[in-house]
Amino acid sequence: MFENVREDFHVYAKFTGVKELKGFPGASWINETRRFLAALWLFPFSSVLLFRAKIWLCKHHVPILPRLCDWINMLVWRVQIADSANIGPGLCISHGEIMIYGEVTAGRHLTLNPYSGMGLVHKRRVSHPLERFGGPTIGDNVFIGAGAYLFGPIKVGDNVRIGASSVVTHDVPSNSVVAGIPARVIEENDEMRELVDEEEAD
Amino acid sequence: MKGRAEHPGGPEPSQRFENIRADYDAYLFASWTWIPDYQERSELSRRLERWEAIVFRGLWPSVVLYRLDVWARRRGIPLLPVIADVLNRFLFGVVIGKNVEIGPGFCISHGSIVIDGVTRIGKNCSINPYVTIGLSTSSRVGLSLRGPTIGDNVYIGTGARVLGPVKIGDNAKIGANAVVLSDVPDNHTAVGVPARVIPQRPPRKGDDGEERPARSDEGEE
Repeated sequence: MFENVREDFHVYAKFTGVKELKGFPGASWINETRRFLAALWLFPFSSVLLFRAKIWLCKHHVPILPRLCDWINMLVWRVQIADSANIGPGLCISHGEIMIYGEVTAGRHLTLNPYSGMGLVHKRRVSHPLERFGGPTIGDNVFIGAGAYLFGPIKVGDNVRIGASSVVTHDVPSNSVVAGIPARVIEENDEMRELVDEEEAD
Repeated sequence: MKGRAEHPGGPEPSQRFENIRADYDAYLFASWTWIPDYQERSELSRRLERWEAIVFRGLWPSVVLYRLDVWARRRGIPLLPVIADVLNRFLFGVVIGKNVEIGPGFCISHGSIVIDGVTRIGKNCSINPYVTIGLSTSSRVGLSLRGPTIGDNVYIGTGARVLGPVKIGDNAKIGANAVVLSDVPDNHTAVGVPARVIPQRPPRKGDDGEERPARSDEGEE
């Protein structure tokens, strides 16, 4: 959980625009603290924290508290993410208003914009009741635009950008841009800006 | 499916609580989207799990607040409608106008919806997040307070907008992010911006004509 949260914080810390202090002992600590506070005050970093806490509590079978996390998340940020969501480190919810349901698996550095989400398809016939819960499987560095929705047990590759207000119902190849209702690939081999940390790159 | 209800809102205030019961049943019916039904568990534990899912994860409380709002307005009770309305808006992001009539069995799956105008919604409709049902200000329609008229068993997908005095038939479906500006006939599906009605697919082998799974495979009752 804490590795995930650290990665999430690094993603948000880039957006905070806190001025770097230098030249005295403890400067880096102060920088980190200011970044953390800025991420909490100015961005929905707290909603990501609550989500991670909820997953951790669910894993340890703590009663009631996960629901409380859900409720705070919904009241404050209108973020609803199901317990079954398995989202990798570096999750960035840019402004709240997210809805994620079903057995979702996402890789690193997923960016979610407002009114976007993932849902289930209403299947008529299934061989097993759990088959109805199939959600998208998403790769790394995926950017989901505002109002875009992903439905059903689809596969989305790495470095994909999904346009605003699109409805994705089929598989998406890696390094592509998709948009429209239903979503079509509008650009292949797109060079997405790298979201890898500077520290990792070194 | 047996035709439109005479009064979707229910004619007498005494019927209001039957509506709430019907809403609960609708949520019970739809709750397979939140939790799987483990057949091997005991009846009581399954019932409790469903109840927890409907009351604490589902949006049934918001529908109850809306029914309370309507009931208090009909009775002329002061302040209570305002409180119910504000609570609904604050807790769930559900904004439902004063001229809206909604039939029993209404299911809001995850909140954040707007319904306004002189709008009628039939029985057993289910509405997904970020849906807007309301007025259109286009010159084609002119200045009118008449909103959509929606039939029974209609499913409105995520982020869809239904605008202006359009008529949506029974058992119709509206796709995600569709913008519906024209009528949708019975048993048809509308998708896209602006929404077009896609031709009805011929019934497949094994289809019973029900849009939702049969109640028997929910394991309730």
